[in-house]
Amino acid sequence: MGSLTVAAEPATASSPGQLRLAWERFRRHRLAMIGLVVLGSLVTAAVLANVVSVYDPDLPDVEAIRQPPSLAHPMGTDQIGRDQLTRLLHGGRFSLQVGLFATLVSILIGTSIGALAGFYGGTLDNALMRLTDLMFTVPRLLVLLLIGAIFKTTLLLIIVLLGATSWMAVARLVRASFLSLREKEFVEAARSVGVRDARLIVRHILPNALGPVIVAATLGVAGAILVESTLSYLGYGVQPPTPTWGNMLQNAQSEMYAAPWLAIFPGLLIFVTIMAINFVGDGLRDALDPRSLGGR
Amino acid sequence: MGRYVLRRLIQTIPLLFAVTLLSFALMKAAPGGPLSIYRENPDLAPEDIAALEEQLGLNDPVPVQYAKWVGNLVRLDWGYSFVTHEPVLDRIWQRLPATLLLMGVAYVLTLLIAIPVGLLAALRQYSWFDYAATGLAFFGISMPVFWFGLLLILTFSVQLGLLPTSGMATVGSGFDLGDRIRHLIMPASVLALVSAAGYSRFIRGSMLEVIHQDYIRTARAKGLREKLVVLRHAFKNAALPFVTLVALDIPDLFTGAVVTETIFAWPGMGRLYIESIGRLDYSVLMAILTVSALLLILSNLLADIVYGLLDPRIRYG
Repeated sequence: MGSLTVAAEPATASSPGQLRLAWERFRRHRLAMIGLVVLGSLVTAAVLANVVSVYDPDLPDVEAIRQPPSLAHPMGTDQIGRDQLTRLLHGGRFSLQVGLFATLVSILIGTSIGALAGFYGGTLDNALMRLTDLMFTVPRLLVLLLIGAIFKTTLLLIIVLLGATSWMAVARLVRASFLSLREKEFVEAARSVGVRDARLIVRHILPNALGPVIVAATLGVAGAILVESTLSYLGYGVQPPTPTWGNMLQNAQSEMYAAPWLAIFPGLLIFVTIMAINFVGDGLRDALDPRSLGGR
Repeated sequence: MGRYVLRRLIQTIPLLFAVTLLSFALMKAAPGGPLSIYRENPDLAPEDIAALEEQLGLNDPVPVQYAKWVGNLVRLDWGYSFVTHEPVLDRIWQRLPATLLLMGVAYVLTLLIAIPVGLLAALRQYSWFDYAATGLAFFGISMPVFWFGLLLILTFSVQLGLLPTSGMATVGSGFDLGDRIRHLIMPASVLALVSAAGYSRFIRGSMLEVIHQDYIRTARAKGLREKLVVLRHAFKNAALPFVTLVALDIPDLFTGAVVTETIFAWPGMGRLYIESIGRLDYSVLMAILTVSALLLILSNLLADIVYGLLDPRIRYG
């Protein structure tokens, strides 16, 4: 890259060399690699649920009610004879989707608000940060439960609600990065050759602020899955018959004596998934955010 | 400092206003209005409901209703439960001690686990203990509270028959400390283990930052005993951000109690909230929502003030 074209080519942390370095660092994190493999297998199994399992997730079978785990039903069957493994795989589609898309919504909102606040500063910054403070004082779980009780909750509503109530930390993170980045020489250089604000924000500054955001997003997926499963477990999330890992545990407590396996497997999948995501997040933190290495 | 606290207190007013507005709007947005639950009651004629609406002021303009509600809230007149017809404040007072007991025990337990584990993990970085603590932390952070509760019940109540599955006391018996403790063990452990996981990591991290600084080397060099160096010189500084974290997390423990109290049928505020949601008992719901928001705001304020008191480097303008 010639020195004269520097301003035209955004200086980003995500140029191929940097990405390769980050990947090298990530690969050396053993737990993160394990997490990645586990997560990959879970996603593949959920996507291929119809291929992996021969059962219908919604079809009751009166001849196979509350069967303990066996070769035919590796995770047993439920109160109306549905194969639990099959339901868990199908449920995984919804739980993973909620986690992924809710985080996407939250990153989109958080990044926009943080970028605008940090880039422009002044009154806009003040107003947006007060909004962030306000959102932090909303008792999230309580409000989500109430909304779930008042309105008919669909998958889309849950995704939007989870995203719209979890963007605040990302907004503060992005704002802090923008506050320091906007004073850097490369921004001044880009500005001096007439790059407009929107392009400056999106192409020049944002890529440099993305590292911590990616880490936060990864952990956000875990958080969203956890909150969705909590809501669904309490009966105010995604409604049956659509299976999710959370709502499959709804009746587990009353079935605990007759069919304990119904309480074990859905939670195990939530736990393993979240653990895997947290491992990946930890590896990403080391790979993308070298400053935080000391604290680990 | 006094002026700073005053200014922060004044800053909370718009926040409180916004939060009450939000919970009011939620109730207003409910299809069928707050009395929707009465409409399903065959004993009530539509005229009766209309009369009730008039009596409760539900026909007033919306801003008037909001102003009245906030006014009553401030005067501690929180209205009556739509379901049990008891004063809302009474219902909350009845349930508060159980929640405070559970939260208090869980909090003490959390600190008793998190502080020693975090300290030792930092002092013996990369030892087997450190790795075990890391594993335990990942375990706790990834564990869904409700599943952990279910597993404990499955193990200690269903399989081993050691601990009671639910409630605060054995039905029909008077107060008995041993009985109370047996009921407390599982719900308190669930809450404590999950939050201790994050805390121990945090303490380990801030200890590691402090322990490599020059003044610690100086303290050691002048021959101070290791115990003193660690506890008085290092931990005191490492604990600063931790105190903030603990104060900020008070409301989290409260929401954690919603789930825990539901699983273990613990008769506290969290369970009251879930019960009221099932019956759409809006007066109780709005009161608890507002109290929780207030708790959040106050714990934020508390965190800032405590931090200022502990760290003389911070000056409030």
